[in-house]
Amino acid sequence: MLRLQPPARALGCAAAVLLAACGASLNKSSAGPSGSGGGGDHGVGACFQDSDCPAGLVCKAQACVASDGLPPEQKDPGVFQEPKTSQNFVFALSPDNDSIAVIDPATLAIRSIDLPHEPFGIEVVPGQDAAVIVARAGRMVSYLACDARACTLQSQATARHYPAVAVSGDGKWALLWTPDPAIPDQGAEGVVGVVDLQKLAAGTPAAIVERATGRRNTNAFFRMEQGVAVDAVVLAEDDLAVLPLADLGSTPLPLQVALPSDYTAVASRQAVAAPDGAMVLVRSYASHDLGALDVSARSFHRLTMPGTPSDLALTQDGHTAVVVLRDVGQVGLLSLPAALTDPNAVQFVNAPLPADLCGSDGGTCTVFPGQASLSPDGRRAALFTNAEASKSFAVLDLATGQVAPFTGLDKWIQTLGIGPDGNTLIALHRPNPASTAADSYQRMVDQSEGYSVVDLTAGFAQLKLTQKVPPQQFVFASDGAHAAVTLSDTAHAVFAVDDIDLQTLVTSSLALASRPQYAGAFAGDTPLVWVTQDHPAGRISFVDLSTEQVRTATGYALNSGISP
Amino acid sequence: MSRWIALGVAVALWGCGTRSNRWEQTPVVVGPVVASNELVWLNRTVSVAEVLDPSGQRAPMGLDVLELPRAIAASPNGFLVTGGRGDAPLLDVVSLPDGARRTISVAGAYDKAAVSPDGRFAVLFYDPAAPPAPGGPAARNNNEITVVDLGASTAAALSLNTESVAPSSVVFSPQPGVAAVVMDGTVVLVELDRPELRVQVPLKLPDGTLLHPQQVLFAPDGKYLYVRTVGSDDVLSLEVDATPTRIGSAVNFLFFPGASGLTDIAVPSGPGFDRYVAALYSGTGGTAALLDATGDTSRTHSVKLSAPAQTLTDLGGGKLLMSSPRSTAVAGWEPLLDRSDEDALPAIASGDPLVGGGHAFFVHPSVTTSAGTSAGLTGVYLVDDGSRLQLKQNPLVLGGTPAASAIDPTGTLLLGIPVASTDNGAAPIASGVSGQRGETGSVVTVKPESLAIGGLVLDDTVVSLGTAGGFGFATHASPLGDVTFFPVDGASRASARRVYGFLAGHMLDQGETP
Repeated sequence: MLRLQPPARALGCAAAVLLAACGASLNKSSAGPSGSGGGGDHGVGACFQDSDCPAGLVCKAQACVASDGLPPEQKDPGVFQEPKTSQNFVFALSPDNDSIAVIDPATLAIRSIDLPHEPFGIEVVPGQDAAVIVARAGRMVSYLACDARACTLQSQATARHYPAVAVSGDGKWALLWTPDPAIPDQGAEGVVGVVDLQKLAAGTPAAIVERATGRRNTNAFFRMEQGVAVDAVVLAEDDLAVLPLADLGSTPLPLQVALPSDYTAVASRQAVAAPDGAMVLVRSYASHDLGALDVSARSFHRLTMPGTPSDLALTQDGHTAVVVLRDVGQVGLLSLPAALTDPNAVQFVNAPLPADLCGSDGGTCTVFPGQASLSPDGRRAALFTNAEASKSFAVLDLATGQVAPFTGLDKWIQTLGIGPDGNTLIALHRPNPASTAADSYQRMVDQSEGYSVVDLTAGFAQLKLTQKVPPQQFVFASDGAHAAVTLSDTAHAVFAVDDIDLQTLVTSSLALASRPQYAGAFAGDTPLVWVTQDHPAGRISFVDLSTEQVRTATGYALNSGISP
Repeated sequence: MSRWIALGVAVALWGCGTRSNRWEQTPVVVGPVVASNELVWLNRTVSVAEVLDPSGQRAPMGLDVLELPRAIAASPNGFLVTGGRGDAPLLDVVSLPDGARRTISVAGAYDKAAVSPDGRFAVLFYDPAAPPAPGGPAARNNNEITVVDLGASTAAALSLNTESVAPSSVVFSPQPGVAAVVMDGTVVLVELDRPELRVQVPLKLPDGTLLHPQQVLFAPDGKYLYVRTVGSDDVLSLEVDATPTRIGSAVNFLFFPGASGLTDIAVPSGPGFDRYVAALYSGTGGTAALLDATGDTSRTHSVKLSAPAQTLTDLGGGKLLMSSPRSTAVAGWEPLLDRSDEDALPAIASGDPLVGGGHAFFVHPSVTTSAGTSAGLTGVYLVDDGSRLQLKQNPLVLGGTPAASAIDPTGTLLLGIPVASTDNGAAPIASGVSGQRGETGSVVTVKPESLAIGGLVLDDTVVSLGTAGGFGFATHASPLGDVTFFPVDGASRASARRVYGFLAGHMLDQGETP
């Protein structure tokens, strides 16, 4: 097997700002696990020696690389201030204006609500048109509930600044925390606050219970039993801290599960919590083993892998995990929780992919996938890498373990995701500016930006070239029939959102006035998606992908200033 | 009173008794305004409003108004005068043609007044450049306005408490009862029936940048207020949500992707435009866009121009015209049908077009033809030939460069053009100052559709032109007032009537010490 040098672009990005700067981001709403935080693979920069790199990575050509000589995979960094959607509203924070805009996507009616100073973290209460907001400078936590007629806001003071909040699935609790690498207020490492949301919403707030959970927290979530939150859980650098909600007052210190030392380097690890919070999987470039934290049993398990995990993902039901082992070209398929005790509940499959840069000898060459992107229905995973040049990905059937390579793309893959029906995939490409293809048209294709839409059942891919305008993000509408890709070329002021018909794979481009920031879909069964854009006073567009109707609300930050 | 008598009276005034200071200076006269089809001048020096009936059926009136008058504003039933001493500020409400005067006490000696189209309300506000009135405090709150119910003769003072210095204008909604007070960085929407119901919309970005309004237009149904601001390529769309119990608003910024250099906005007239505002961009070659007020960009219509334009003109019937005082390019656009046509004028126009009866008239100081160079006029209109929009031009040659112009409500264009006084029929009496120049004034009338030309030669040069009640009027330079009236239809010297010295006529009993 011929191993390849990674493309210069990938190396450069990895050395600079590994997770934040390069390429497009993945739509977390359709592809990512639930729960707050995630951590992993952050803080990796240039190096001169191995000790400059996070645990598990080594210094090679002034870049931190994994044991296979390749840079870590580029993952979505996540953000805190992207708008959040409930069933009927979009909640868009305006930290500079101390307000939140509540936007009705059906009518574009905007209500601007004043908030305590510098609102920063927001989470929607599951199943409700309500959100919990923490004001960083204002030292407040607020509960905002809206209906068609009005919004009501209840706030209570916090003892310190909290930049982030997690909300329990039953909507009864909020967990205020400081995600790494944010600097904790007052130097209070790892202190979290538990808020009784029912009492806050009723206007009779109970005292916030603060607890110490260690330091450098990367994940915060709730463990649910029968739909009821029972534990508040925080993954810190060295341990897992569990706060039993029923006994908060009588539990001054959290129940702790210590992490082995090879999982404590937050810069080179990734942790994923199951939607019900019952389990946390942890991988690290410093270990061949996959770590599994059983929250209810307060125990840690090691699952031995044949290679070093470079990515992991959990299905939304939390019953299946996919672990990508890039350095050995395999993928692990784990049935949970059986895999913690039964080796037969773990299946490994080989998943080599054809490479694109095979050198002058023209010989056969392969690359190994480094990432997995799950379909929302949990039936499939798309395996790919962006650490090396490849126009191929593989589809893993989670039920059978079968791997089907797909080689029908015309350009290098930067990132990809599978739609809600598990049948359609969108791949965002990256250009090959050094293409030497003899065919001038193919050379133009190689050097252009673009993306592809793939019908996995038909095995048909349709390329959309976007010339010099890089695709930025894709989002699948909840109707399963449409998707959107945002495009942004700041240098030439070209901004657009492409409307994709997933039945025909036909695309059409809709112009945007300014740089798209985030895009997201609405729950339910709607072709509507939203796209926020740069504007000093806030801008959000609602795109009906079935009719190509684009309605834009701009300046909603000004609305909070409107007064009698 | 003949002209000679009037002048004689005026001269005699300088020799009578002990003169008041007001006779030592040139009278400060504001106007004329057209009120109830009559012309009204406000002589601030002697606190008299002079009223002339263009038809001549009613005798000129000199009406005493409040002390220290500051401004005059026309209303459908007469006119208003603001001012008064600082310790006793007033508003005079004068009805015409009877000249009846009511005086209302108000909160301040305001510098400006705006009257609602239905004549029910007036909004009084300050000019930040004007000094406080004598007799009052040497300071004032320019954020204070007064809403006057002209029918009930009641005044409600409002302190707006904005971050802006003072109102710059007041715009009334087409739907009665709502006014937009436009300030430097704020728009305040006021329910005129209940002035305590108002909403302030600060045009201030989160970084503190104020958006200064340059152009403010209501939608035909009054549901939206469109604002063009300095330095922004977005049109601000303020939703106006007025109910009997509250008034609310929400801001949206309307845009056309990729367009820059917003230079003009217009609200097209015609069916289907209730939720639209047209925007003209001069950047990147020139673009015009019809923008949906709610931000629905899928309803946007646009046209790319081959040359940048500066002015957007509504011709009615869903048609718009784009032009520029810097170039000969002109373009017509029927936005809802996505049809357009472009052409070039014979020469650069001296300013924005005059519009009437579906025609736009461009005045050219100099048009070069095969026969030579002369001033010219081009009438431009848009024709729907069934399959496409066509821009048509009708060039006219003028005998001189217009010094004044006006359009009457029927669309008839009036131009005041200097001509040689000799052999033009001008009365010898005009051979005073103007005769030394060898020039007098003429008025040319141009009918909108037929382009039929009429007009008359006047006995003096024209300072300004206007129309009132089917009559045209031309003012002439004179400190004592000098105006010629003529019917717009069938204008001729025989039908013209000159009134001069009318400002002096009512100064005789003013300010003299026994």
